[in-house]
Amino acid sequence: MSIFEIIAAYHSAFLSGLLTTLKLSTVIWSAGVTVGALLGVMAHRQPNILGIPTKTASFIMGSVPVLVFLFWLHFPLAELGLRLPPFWSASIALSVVNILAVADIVRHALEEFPQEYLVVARISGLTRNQALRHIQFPLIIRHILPALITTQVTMLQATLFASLISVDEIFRTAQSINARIYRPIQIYTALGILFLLVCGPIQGLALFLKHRFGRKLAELTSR
Amino acid sequence: MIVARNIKKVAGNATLLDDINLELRPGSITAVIGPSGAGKTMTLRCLTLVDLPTSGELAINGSTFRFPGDEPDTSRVWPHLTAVFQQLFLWPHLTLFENVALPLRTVGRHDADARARAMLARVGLDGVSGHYPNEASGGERQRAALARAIALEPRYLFLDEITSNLDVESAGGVLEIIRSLKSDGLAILVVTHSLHFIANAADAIVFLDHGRIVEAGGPEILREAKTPRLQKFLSVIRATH
Repeated sequence: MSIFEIIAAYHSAFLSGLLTTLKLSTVIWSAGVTVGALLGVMAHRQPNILGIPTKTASFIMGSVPVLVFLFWLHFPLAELGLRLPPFWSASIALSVVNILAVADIVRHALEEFPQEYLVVARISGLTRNQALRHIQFPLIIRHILPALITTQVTMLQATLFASLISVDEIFRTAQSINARIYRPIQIYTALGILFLLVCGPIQGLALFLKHRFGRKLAELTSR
Repeated sequence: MIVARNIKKVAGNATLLDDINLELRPGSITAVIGPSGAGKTMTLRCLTLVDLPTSGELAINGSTFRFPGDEPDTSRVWPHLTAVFQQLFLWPHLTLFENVALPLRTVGRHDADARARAMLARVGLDGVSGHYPNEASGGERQRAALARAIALEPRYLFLDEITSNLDVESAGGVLEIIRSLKSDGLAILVVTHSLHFIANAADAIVFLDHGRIVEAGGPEILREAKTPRLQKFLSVIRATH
């Protein structure tokens, strides 16, 4: 069977797996971007109370493999009698990873933001809120957007780990099909194509934004 | 009028400014000169309240602020008092036109866009107003920053090395604009290394070294400097320009 014959024959299974992957990603993305951005801003504003704990957690999370963290969250909770559906164990574990990654991006961007842009805004008559709305917010967004999108693509790829705690996402679907017909090269190539179709445009958007805003903000990032 | 008395600025163990006394009168240009690290930019930052002095007294337009202690309400001072910094800090996500128009729009000027266009034309940038700062030359950026500052019709204008990146022709154009602002009644303080600019525009000159005023006076001090330190500084400047 060719790759496309496999995709055609098992399209409903692939679609179901892809849907679970996208559901999982949506939860991880939503939590990561909203809570992570909020945490990043608060960590910047409260460096002692929230900044140091956030940096420490990011450092630990950067050193511990995502898979270990996922297992560590899923199995001990079950031992304690708290049996979460695997989908939600994976959602929580990967959301925590994403929240810390996004918080790090936002905190860094705020720390590196040249305050003189705001000073000039204030001395030009803008209020503090106007300076934040018209100057700092759009500049920070342009600065972090490429890294933020790339991180979200990485998180989408990290959802594959959820298969190891029995979430029926796309990788587990591919494994099941392979167990039935044993065509590993074709099946995993088909999986690669599906990921390329989903992640490719998102990565392309990140590259486009990086190119579009990168030159314009060269002055900002060189400070 | 702006009157600074005994302004001192300390950062850590370093005294950046000490015993700075200055008066900026409407319709006059004061040039601050001195070697690198003399405290010229810090003087500008303290007089504009961007950095608060450690001690001293600052009277701006009738309001007197005493340091330490007073926390000036800068929203009442800015943008009647405004500045162009050496690094300019044009907002990189906005075009040159938007850089000039944004402050006008946010203060609610009904003629914001028309005035922004007029200001850009006044500094000779009407042809490149749609460019982003990274697409403009150093000289164009300096003129755009000047346009942004003067668009709000300030009464006090502080300029840090405003002609440093300009060719002779453009610098001459900026000199003309600054002169016309002076005749409009603005009190202007210029930090500069340009003796040509000082000789042709300044009403008062303040020479700083190591955070202190070493010599001050009218344009004649360029010809008849009293202190050996200013004499030496001027001879170096003349030899290198």
